[in-house]
Parts: sequence; C-alpha cells; structure tokens
Amino acid sequence: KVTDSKTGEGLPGVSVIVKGTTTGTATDINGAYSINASKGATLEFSFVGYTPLSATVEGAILNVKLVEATKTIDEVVVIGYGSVKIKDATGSVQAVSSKNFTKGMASSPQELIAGKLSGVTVTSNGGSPTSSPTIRIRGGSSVSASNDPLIVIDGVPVDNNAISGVGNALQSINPNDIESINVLKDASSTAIYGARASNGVIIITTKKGKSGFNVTFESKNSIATPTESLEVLSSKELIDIAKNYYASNSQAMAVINAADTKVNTDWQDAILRNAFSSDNNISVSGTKGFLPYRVSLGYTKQDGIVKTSGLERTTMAVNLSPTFFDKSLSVNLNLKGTYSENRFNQAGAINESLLYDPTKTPKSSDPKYQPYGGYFTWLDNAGKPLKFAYNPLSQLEQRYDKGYAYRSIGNLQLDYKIPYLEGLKAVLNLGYDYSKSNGKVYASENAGFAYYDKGINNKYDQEKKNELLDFYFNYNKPFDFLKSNLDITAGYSWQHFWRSESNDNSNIPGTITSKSDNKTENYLVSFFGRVNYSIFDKYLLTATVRRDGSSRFQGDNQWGTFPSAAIAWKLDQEEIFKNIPVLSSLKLRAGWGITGQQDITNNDYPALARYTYGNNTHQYPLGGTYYNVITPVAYDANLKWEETESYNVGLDFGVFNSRITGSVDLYYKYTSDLINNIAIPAGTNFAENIITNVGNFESRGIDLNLTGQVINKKDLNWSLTYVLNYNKTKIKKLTLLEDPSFVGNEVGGIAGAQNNNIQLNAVGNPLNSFYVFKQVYDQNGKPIESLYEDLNGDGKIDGKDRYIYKSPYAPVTMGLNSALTYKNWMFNFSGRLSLGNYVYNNVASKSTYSEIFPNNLGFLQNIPRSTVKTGFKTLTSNLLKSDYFVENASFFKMDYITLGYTFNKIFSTKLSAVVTGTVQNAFVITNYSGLNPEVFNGIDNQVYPTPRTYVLGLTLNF
Amino acid sequence: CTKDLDVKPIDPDDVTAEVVYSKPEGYSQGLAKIYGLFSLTGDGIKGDISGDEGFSGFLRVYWNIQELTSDNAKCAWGDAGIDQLNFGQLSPENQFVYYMYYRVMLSATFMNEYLRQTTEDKVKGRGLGNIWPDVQKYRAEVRFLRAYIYWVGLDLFGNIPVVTEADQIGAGLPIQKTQKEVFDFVEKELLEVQNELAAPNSNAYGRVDKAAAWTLLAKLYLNAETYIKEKHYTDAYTYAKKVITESSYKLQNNYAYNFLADNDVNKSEIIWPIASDGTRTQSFANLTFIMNSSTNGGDAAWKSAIGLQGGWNGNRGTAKLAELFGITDKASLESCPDKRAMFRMLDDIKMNDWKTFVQGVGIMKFKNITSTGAVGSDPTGTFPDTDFPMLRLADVYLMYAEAAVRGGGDVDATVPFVNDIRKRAFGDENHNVAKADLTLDFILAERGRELYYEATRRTDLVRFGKFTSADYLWPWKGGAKDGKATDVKYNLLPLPYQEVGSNPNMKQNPGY
Repeated sequence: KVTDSKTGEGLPGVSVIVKGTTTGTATDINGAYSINASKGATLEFSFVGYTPLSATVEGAILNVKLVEATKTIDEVVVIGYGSVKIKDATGSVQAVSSKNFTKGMASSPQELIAGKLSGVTVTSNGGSPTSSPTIRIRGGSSVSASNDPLIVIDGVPVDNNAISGVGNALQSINPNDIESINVLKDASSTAIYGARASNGVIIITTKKGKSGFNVTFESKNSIATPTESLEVLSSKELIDIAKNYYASNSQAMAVINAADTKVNTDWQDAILRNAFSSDNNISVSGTKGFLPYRVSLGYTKQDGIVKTSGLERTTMAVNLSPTFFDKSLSVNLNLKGTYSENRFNQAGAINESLLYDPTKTPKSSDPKYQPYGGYFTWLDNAGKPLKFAYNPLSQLEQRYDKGYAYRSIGNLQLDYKIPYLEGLKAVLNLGYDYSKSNGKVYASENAGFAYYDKGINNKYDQEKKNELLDFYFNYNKPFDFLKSNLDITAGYSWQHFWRSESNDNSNIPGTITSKSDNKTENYLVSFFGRVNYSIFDKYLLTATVRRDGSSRFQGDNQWGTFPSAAIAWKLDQEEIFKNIPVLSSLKLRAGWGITGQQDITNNDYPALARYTYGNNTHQYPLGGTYYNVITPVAYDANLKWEETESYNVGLDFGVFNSRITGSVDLYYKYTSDLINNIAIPAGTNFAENIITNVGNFESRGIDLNLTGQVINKKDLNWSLTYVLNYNKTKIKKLTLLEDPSFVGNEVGGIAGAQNNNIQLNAVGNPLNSFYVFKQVYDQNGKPIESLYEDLNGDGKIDGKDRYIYKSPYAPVTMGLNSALTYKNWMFNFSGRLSLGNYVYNNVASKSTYSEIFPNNLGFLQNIPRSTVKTGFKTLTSNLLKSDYFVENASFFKMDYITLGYTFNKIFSTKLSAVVTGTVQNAFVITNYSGLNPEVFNGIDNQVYPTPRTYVLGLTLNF
Repeated sequence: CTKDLDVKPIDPDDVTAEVVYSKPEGYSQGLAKIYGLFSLTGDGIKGDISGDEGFSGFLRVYWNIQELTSDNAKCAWGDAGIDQLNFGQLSPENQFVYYMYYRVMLSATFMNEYLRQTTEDKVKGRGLGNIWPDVQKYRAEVRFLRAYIYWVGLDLFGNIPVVTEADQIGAGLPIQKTQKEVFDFVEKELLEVQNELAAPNSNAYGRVDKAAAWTLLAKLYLNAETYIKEKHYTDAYTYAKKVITESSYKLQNNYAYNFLADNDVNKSEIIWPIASDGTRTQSFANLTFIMNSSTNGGDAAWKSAIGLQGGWNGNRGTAKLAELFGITDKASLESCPDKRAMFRMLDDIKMNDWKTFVQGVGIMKFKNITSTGAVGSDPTGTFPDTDFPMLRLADVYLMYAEAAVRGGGDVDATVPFVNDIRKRAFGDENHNVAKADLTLDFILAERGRELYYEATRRTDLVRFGKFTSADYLWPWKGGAKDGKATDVKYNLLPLPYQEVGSNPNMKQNPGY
C-alpha cells in the first residue's frame, strides 16, 4: 500500500515500476497495489506532486509512504507572456493561489489579496456591495493620471474604467473561479507591459479542468450589521442650543419654535438595516476524453446595509484546455460571463442622515405630508416642498436607481511547439472584454425631492468593447556550455478600446432635462521582447524591452520605449552556503527598468484640437433662433508618456527546511514628465487647467514578507504570514520653469464651501498633503474659533499662513494572516495595520452652530456632538481648513476570523464537506473620531458605513 | 496596424475645427457660444470652468462683485468668501476673484479662437465665400464682445494680459499689461468695430450693433479718470449723445417691463441683453441666480410673485438702498411715489446680522412673469425666461448727464433726458429736476435708484470716490454694522493667487 506521509491515507494512481524493466502498475483507489517482482528487486514509486521513492522488495508486502514535494520552491508565477518558477524569478513578484484563499469568505477578488501581499494596499471604499476598493501597489507613481495597477485576466488586460451600472469593475469575476493572483511590483517584472506598467500589474488566472471528475458546491449565507454611528445631539439638546444661538434671527426662531422636541429620531438608524446575502457556486471539472474542462456557475444576492441598496449577480465560466498533435498544440479557451443587477442608493442620503433634523419623524400621518408619500418634507408656508434638505429615507425609498450589466471576458490561446525546432513555440492569444449595460433612475412626481422637477425618469446605456491580439515566439533551450539556459520571448500586441454611452434624462411627463451621447476609442500597439538567461542555474539574467504606441498622443509623442534589466544570484547554490544547514534557499535580486503611463481617465484625445456640441438645454438664441453651442476643448498637442524609472534590490530566503520563507525588497521609483492636471496661466488654453506633462515624483520603500510554518505536525498545522510595507513619496518638481515662489497645486475638494480645497501637491511633500491653518488653543486645550497662527508673521491671517501637515497615505502598512488546522478543524484570521495615515474629518469640520439653520434656507439640521465640544459657531473657509480636523487615523482592522470543520467521506468516499463560520470586518481599533478611518484619499465625507458581516459557509466536494 | 494610432474622434458631436466650420451653421453655433459665454456656464456636458459650475458663470460672479461689495445688497449665506464680498474687501484667495478673473480671460480665449477660425482666407478657402459678408459681421460682434470682457477686466483687475487671436493655444506665458495698455486696446477695438457693426436697431435681437459700441465707449471714457488718470468726459459725452441721437432706442414706457419674462418683446430700451430661457438657455448663473437668491423659499407668495420656486434666501437690499428712495419702514415703502422701488418689507430693515436673510429689504425687480401676468416657460420653476439688460438706454441718459456735469459737454442739453427717467419713475412731472439739481451726488443717487441690481454699482462708487472712503458709508462696508472706510487698494481687485502663481509674468496689484 502507498500512503501519504502526512495524512496516512492511501494514494490512488501512484505509478509503481520494477526498476530496469517495463513491468509496472498503478495503485487502486485505496492506495493498494500488487506487482510481480522478485525479492531484492527495486520498486520505483512516483506520483505527481510527491517526491519519487525507490524501495527494495524484502517480502510479500511493501508499504511505502510518499512525501509531498515541497511546493513553495517549485511554484510557478505568471509574469506576463509566460511564466517562471519562483526560484528563477529575477523580479519582485508575489502570488496568492487559491489554496491560500480563505474558505468561507463572502468576497470580491480584491479582498482575496487584502493584507496578504507586501506593498499592495487595498482600501475599501465603504461597505456598499456595489463599491469598488482602491488598489495601490507601492503607493502608485502618478499624480493626475491613473494610479490603478494594470489588471490582466487570463491574458486580457482589462479596462479599469468603471462600467456604467456596475459599481465595482472586478465584480464580474467570481472569486471562486480564480486559481491565482500574481502581482508584479518592480519595473524589471512589469516592463514587459511597458506603457501601462508603472503602477504594477495584477495577473488573475482562472481555474482549469483537472483530471478525473470533480464537483464542488459552495454556499455562503451571511448577515451584515451596521457597526458604529456618528454621535449627534438629541432633539432637546439641539433645540436648546439653537434657541440660544439664533435668538436674534426671527426667521430661524420661527422654525426652531415649531420643532417638536418630544420626537427624537435617529436618522442613521432609520436608513440602515441588517442585510442578508447569499452566494452559491457550483463547479464541475474533469477530463472527458482528450478534453479537460471546467464549468462553473455562481449566483449572488447581496443586500447593502443602507436600505434599498444591493446587488444580484450571476456568473458563468467555462474553461477548455485540450492539447493536440502529441501535445505540441495546447489550446486554452476561457469564457466568462456575468449578468448583474445593482441597486444604488443616493449617496447624499447617507450624508444627510448623519445630520438630519431629529425633531422630525421619517414618515408621518399628518395630512400635509400625504402628497409626498407620507414622508416628512420641509414645506413652505403654502405646503409646497422647499428645494433643500430632502428626507434621507424618502431619497432611498422613493428613488429607484438600478443598473443592469452584461459583461463577458474571454480568450483563446494557442500555444504551438514548432516541430523540428526544439524549444521554439509560437503563441497566439486572442481576447476580448465586452460589456453592455444600462440603468434607470426613477422617482415619482410625489417624491418631495422631485416635486418641482415633476419626477425623475433618467436612463443611461453603455457599451464597451476591448479587443486584444497578442502573438509571440518563445525559444527555450538549455546549453551545456556553462550549463546555461536561454529563454527568449518576442512578440507583438494590439489592443483596441471602444466605448459608447448615452444619457437621457427627463421627468415623468416627458420633458427632457438633458440628453447626451458619446463615443470614444483608443488603441495601443506594442512590440516586446524578453531574454532570460541563466548560468550554472546560479546566475540569472533578465532583460526586457517594450515599444508602445498609444493613440492618445500625437505624432512623435505616440511611441515610447520601455527597457528593463535584472540579475539574480542563487546564493544557495554556492558551496559556502550549501554548508549552512539551516539555510534552505537564498537568492539575491537586483533590477532596473523604465515603465510608462498613458492612462488619462476619461479622455482619449487629450492632445487633439477639437470641438464639442452642447446639449439642448444650453442653447443660445440669436434673433429668435436657438443654436446649440460649439465649444473648443482644451488640449496639449505636445502631451506624451509619463515615465517611471525604478530600482529594486531584493533577497528571497528560506530557512529550516523552508519552514520559514520570505523576501525583502528595497525600491526606489522616480517618475518624470508627470501627466498632471494643473492650473495654467489664464488666456493660454480653453480651460483654467489642463492635462500636461509637468513635474517629477519619487517614492521609495521596503517590502517585507515572511511565512512561517510555526507548527508542522501530523494533526496540527499553524502557519503565519506577515507582510510589511514602508512607502514614502515625495513630489520633486511641479513647474516647467524653476519657480521657488510656486506653492503647489491645490487638490482635494471639500464639503462646506464651494471650490475649497484641503490638500496640496507641493514640491518636497507627499501627494495630497493636507494644507491647513495652524489652530490656536486655550490653556485648557480647547481650540479657539477662528484663531490661527500667523505663520508668516505679516500680522494678518490669510492664505499665506497655511502650512503642509501630514498626508492621507500610511507610510507603514502591515498584514498578518494566520492559518491553523487541527485534525479536521481550521481557524484562520487576517488583519491589517495601517500606521500614520491621516484623515480630514469633513463631517465634523462642516458642522458649526451656524449650520443648524444653514444659509437661512428654512430648515434645521443637527450637529455632531464633537461640535459642542469645540463650540465652533460660524462656518468660514478658514475654519474648514483648520488643522484641528486633520486626525491621525492609524488603525488595525481585523478583516476576518474564520472557524471551519471538514467532514471527510460522508456517505461515500468521494464526498467531503467543509463548514465554516466567518466574521468579516470583525473589529477596528483606531483613535480616529469619525466613522471609518479607512478613507482612501483622506477626506472623510459621505462614506457608506462598513458593516460587520457574519458568514456561514458550506463547501461540498464530490 | 500602427496606423490605428492616428485616431480622429468617432463621436459625431466631437469634431475638429475644420468639420465645424465647413458648414455655414457652424459660424452661427460658434457665435452662439461667444454670446452664450455671458449667460451659460458651459455647454451642458462640461462647464467652461471646473468646480461648481453655476458659481463660475459670468453674470453671477460679476453681479456678486458689483452688487454685494456696494451699498445695494448683501448676501446672507455663510459660503466661503461671501463675507469678503459683503465687506468689500476681497483677497487674492477669494473664490469670486478667481472665477471672475478666469471668466474674463477664458472668454477672451474663446473669442480669439473664433476670430482665428473665421478669417476671410479660411472662410473662402472652405468654399463658403457666399457667407463671408455675414461672417464679417459676426467677427465685428465678437470683437465688440472681446472689448467688453477686457473692459470688465480693466474695470475690476486693471493690470491684466491682453491675449488676442495672434496668440496660439498653448503658446508662451502671456505678458501683463498696464491699465493704460488695456484701456488703449479696448478703445482701439471699439473705435474700429463701430464701423463694421450693424446700424443701430437693425440687428437681430440678442446681437449687438453700433449703439452697443458707442455705449461701451461712453462707459470707458466716463471711467477713464479712474483707469488711466486721464479725463475723457468730452468723449463720453460725444458717444452717449451718439446713442441718443443716432439710434431709435427709446425708454420703455413702463420701467418694470424691462425686467420681466417677456423683455425680449418689450425691448425698446435694451441695447444688449443676456438671454435666458426656461427650457433652452438654462444656467444657474444668469438671472436664475439673481432672482432665486433674492427670494424667500419659505414664502410661497413671494415665490409666486417672482415666478420661480427656488427661494435660496441669499440676497436682499440694504437700508442704504432703501434710503435712496426715502424708505425707512413699512409706511414709507407703501407711500413711496417712485415706482422703481420694487421692494418687500422684511422683519427688520436694519441689518444687525448680515447672515439673517429677513433683515434688510427684499428686492423684486426681476420677475419670471410676463407683462400680461403669465409665468415663464420652465415647468420646474427653476430657470427664468427673463433676459438681463447688459446695456440699457436709461444708463446712457445718466452717463450723458454725468459726462456733462463733469465738464464734458452742455449740461442743459442733458436735463430733459434725466427728466424722462424721472417722469417714468414717478408717473408725473412733479419730481423733475433742473440744471442746478444735477450735482454729482444727485447723479450717483439717481443711478442707484435707476440701475440698482443691474451690476453697475461698484464701478459707479469707485468712479465717484465713494467705494472705500469714509464720507459714504453703508451697512457692513468694511465689516462694520454701520459701515466704515476701507483701504483704497480695494478700488482695484486683487489678481487671483492661482494666476500669480502659475504665470511668473504677473505681478500682484498694489497693496495686496
């Protein structure tokens, strides 16, 4: 009998051969075998994934235990137009494969990697099922151009721009179909993607058919509950303060005196709920004749904790991976399809709920509210709605905002080993990413917020096509000379992006309020090549070059060349290290490369002089005829690539028989000719700011990851993974000419005042640094309203007294993942620590006593309890910019805790089941006073509350 | 496949200049854009200036700067920068300064593009020689409008660059000009185009004619002493007189008709209007702003009287404005013989707290109601049909008198025109004035009564030396409840710090 050394279970299908003969057999389903061999003969046992074993026949029974091969060492990572063994990789590449995905989590693809990879930060964008988290690899390298990494799904680089009617672009990939997620971080590994590689590359590979016949069914059911709420005043407290503050304002007093303090509505509570979700997946994989196949089907229904929000999604994936002509032609066909329905909530409703007047009930039987569906509505003295401060609950329940989207991503890859030329193959990859979506926003004429507009009946449509053709040759040949190995790839890539969309807004009687449509496209054409060369399996060299052309630029600026080079030295192969017993692997890597950036969000023609036609509501009459206006659009004819030059030095190591493995990388990135949206001198273009190449930007940092098998026993396994990233960014240059008096470009618009910004991009500082006044405090440490330090000492407080204070981006992030198994039990958790990220609390800053009856508009608003603490009375643009509101929002977040149990051999030998219980977003530890410390750009305003989710999961394998 | 990279926009609404101007209607659409710059904030898809689109519209920001800094009106909103407007003390960081400046320069840039694309060579080269005579007229109008926008820049900011069609897009940094250089440019342009513009009253409604150029010349010359310390009162007198004698514009019989939803019909007095339309010419910047912001949203009767449902509770007149009409309380309002006082009593005419909307006087000069009492066309009650009079004959009459009083001509000849205005205001001749009454103080007060809320007040106060001085105070001038003198530097607005930061050729105005 042949058994697994660890589990002791029988191994079926193990090949057993009598050494030196052709006599052989295979083990049966229980691992048993019988073979004719004479005493003293040697039997050879081999099985995929296990270390081969030889044993001498001494009697009638020969039981052997096969040891599972140490996987980590031979694992393969996908690197773009090919793959490489991790031990031979020269760049900074990390992978998470499906076996490391935690079972039982209701998740999106992004969550599969959150906190698992060093230098990869995933910031959730609130807790909405339809929102999309932001992914940054090593902090990004651009200012105004996109900082999103390039995402490649089964060889198809997908468009990162949102699909109308879908909140989350990656939502259309079912996490259960993902086999592995590889992240390329440094330039030497990303440069093969040239112009799109500056922000790193995420390569998602989906599952393929396996041998045999397997069925997996997975079902997850969860309940999400709201966690924290903003502390606001009770009705009585509010009215007491208001009466005092507004004593001399007769208009305000009339409204205040009419308020009913016996009512004390918690508006946050009123719009939130416990939300149920169900996620069910079934997959069938196997091999039928020559055809390995995998088919999966998934259905998800997820409700959001904000009332009415949620999504429904059906996914399907098919993979066929046959080989022909004696394995010389490999075919890999992937087809993925998704249909989703998303119901969006009015973002403003969440914000309004924080500070809505507590003296009003959400719904009322008072006849004056009956024309508006019974929802409380602020009314004028004739019983008609005011055009402000709409009831948050009515904005959710009386507004129907739904998106419907089909998306399909697919590719056909033909991999042909050219006969008679050993080591040469040609690869053709044809891919597409297609989506068609539409949406509808509807509100009836009796909704208070749509009363004057006579209802809302808006429609939108979008169609997107992304077509891809890659063709490349790969030549891989070992040479005896220096025991070297040569691996050359050279090819061509063509990609076309096309998008068409339309909006048709009208009211219920059919009056068109606005109508627009738009079509746009862009092309990328590239030539690329890569050489991997190794000597004595010890010294590894990689060089790549890619030449990219982008239709977004004009003339000579269209083309850019992006080279890279890297070397690695497998120190563990040197005699001196071979003699260190604790050391199982050691590799030193160094790389350099230049990558590009051309992804200018929503603008495919930034360098082209053009005109656009206006719509029918913005006509102008001349002599009684209404003309649609034509407007010249701002452009920069000389716009070109942004370039990032980066350096990376890394060390991969394994000790104690690879029980502890890890890597550490140091990197430096320098981006020049930043694609930057900057203010320009008036009179030089058709806008007050344009997208142009100006400025330089650097980032440097350390990535560390460590995986340890803390316990590795037969019944008890415990592994821990720890990742750390230290990242520091600095703007080096922002103007074309040297101009020391230039303060910087203001960014980061805030609520509370029109056109006010809280952040600055300034030379010598991180991106989006807060640009604020220095608050003055009294002896008791209480901030003094409207008193700021006169930093430039000119005797007055004006814009010149603002200073740069902190950045929204954490310099240090860490992740800790633990996986513990004891017999059939498993216990996993994953947490993230973010240190030194600052958040501007806009919810607090825009709330002063003067906002209880804001702008005399006729309605009351609540204020947070924090406002009573400061006692700030009047909202001014200076007050909004006080550094008092910039808070240290460092946090530790326990992303999930899972407990599971595996039932083997139920009913029949083939059926096994895993039952899991998971708490997602289990707890957050932070000093931040707002609702959620995790705010990507550091301005906390209007965030969908993050729920805590309890998930019960069941996985069945047949 | 590398040819794929040479893309042209595939959207039929997204085209190159050559496509636009290959058809005759392109020239009208381009002209509509230029005129529309004064009413619209963008094209409905994208705003001309990013940020809050409504805020950046020409009339909204110009009106705010002209009226809120003056004795006419104060805004009760707490929005950033409004306190500085109410106090007449704008700083380089103020967002209204920013929007005003960029609106001026951006408008000029659009106008330059039109002039570049419509030269005789280009039009004929496109085989459109038959429309050249029309295009020539369009070009003269665009040059007038450019002179106007640079006049606004001169009046408010003084030392601004003058960018023309000779400056290509994306070319080097513009050079700052002195007030004298800007003045000379505006004067030269107006003197040239007055010959090319249509004869007075002969152009289509909404488009300018010779009378517009003369009116603007009169304004330019009347203020010359402020701008360049040169007296041009004779020139001001001459051009005001030209409008009066060489055109058939005449006073509207009913003062109020100038400000109603059908003032495109009752247009005899309006030399150049900024058009609005409730459904087709929508903007949160034109009269939409002035009317909604001056109305109490909680007061249904008030909203109905105006014909709009916005009710933004922002702007109302000051006690000083009421005082020009002799109004101090409810009784004196009801008995006021001057029909121009279209006021509404609020809780307290005194403005002890500028942030309380119901203090001061409600202003109901502009209405989205026609002369026959019908409500304007927008079913949602947001956008009015009412056009804003940019240049109006009554203003010319008063400039005529002022130029004479300031030594530019025969005062006697101007007295009847002042009395035409008075007769219309009072409905009788009992309030007529004589030559001796025509003092500068009287003229400033009369301009206040006739032209309040029409975006001329700040310019007038500066010209009369009253904008910053201690001898003429109004509520909240300088930030004091009863008003106080402010620094003389405020006679000229600061340049926005963004411009001084991004163009090293620009020097901040004195004192800032």
